[in-house]
Amino acid sequence: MGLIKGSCSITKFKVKEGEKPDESLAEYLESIARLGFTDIVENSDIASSHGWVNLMNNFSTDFSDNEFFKPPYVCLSLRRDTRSVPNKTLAQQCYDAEELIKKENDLEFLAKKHKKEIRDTIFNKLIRQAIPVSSYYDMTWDTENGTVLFTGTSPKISDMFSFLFKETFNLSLLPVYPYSMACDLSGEELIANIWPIDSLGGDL
Amino acid sequence: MDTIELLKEKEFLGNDFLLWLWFRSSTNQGDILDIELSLSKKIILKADDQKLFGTISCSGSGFKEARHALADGYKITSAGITITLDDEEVYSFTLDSMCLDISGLKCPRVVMDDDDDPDGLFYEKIGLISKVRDKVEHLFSSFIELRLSEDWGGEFEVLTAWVRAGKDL
Repeated sequence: MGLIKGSCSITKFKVKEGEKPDESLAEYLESIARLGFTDIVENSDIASSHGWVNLMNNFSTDFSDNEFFKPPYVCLSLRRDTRSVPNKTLAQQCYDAEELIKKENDLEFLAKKHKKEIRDTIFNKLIRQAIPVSSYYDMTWDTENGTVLFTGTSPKISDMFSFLFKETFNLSLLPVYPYSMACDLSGEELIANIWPIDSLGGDL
Repeated sequence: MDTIELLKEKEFLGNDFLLWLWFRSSTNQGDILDIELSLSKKIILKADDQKLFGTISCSGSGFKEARHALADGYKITSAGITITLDDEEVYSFTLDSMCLDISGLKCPRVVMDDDDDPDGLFYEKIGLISKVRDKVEHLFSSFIELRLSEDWGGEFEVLTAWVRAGKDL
């Protein structure tokens, strides 16, 4: 579910006050391409990878036609690939390996350290075989008013996005939430005097 | 205080905003600032008190269970909302209290020929999404202005009476 097709979710950020985009399109292009998505290397034990892809075509990391800039918006998608090993599968394979070692060596128990070594070895073997699952999150940055809309709503993904945005454009993002909106509107001093509705009149 | 702590401490602003929207829409005052608004689909409430437990999720039939929970002191953490703009544009989405994040947003359908103007769909969709997000912020601004105005006293009385009446439903 992205910005263009179907339903979507929206988290809003603002570029930190005082920070202004001062780089040219060519410099942005260089940063975006540098931080573009790269596949997890096959047969590696890397569990995840993330980076920019083309918003209009999520399969493409070619930004050379400047399609990421639709004035006044910079628009990109964050792609994140993750590989994981199902807990039950890992537990079963660990159990089988431990039982085999115990039988072959005529042991009743295995040391905790040995069990951990077995687990790590099996995890590394299985993670290499796991197929990555891809997730896509779209973003638009209105370069005129500093508003950024992002389709990820989980704190973990939002943090990852803010970090990548900072790394790419050298601009900090601030989340927009009720308190910050209220302070922008009426000032922190007045907002500090607002109390929850139920604490004003005792029991509702 | 870091952002997460601040978000939690001031989440009541979002809780109270959703409560106000629900109150306004269910007392036939849904036409707020020329926006036709109603609560639809699902409301989720959370215990904000050690005497209360867990989360309540309620949908349909006038949200009676949610009204009871509200009267007992539960806080609204998310609400399904439908708004109509310019008499015919219908948007539905879920609004959360913590960050006023919008999820599951369904906008009016955009009919456009991609071959004629590949960027047209992008600009049209971004326009619709920005419009609904701006309206939510506009409603929130109106709520804050009302809370800080002399009119809040009267609004508060009617609102709290409406909340208490939920016990008798």
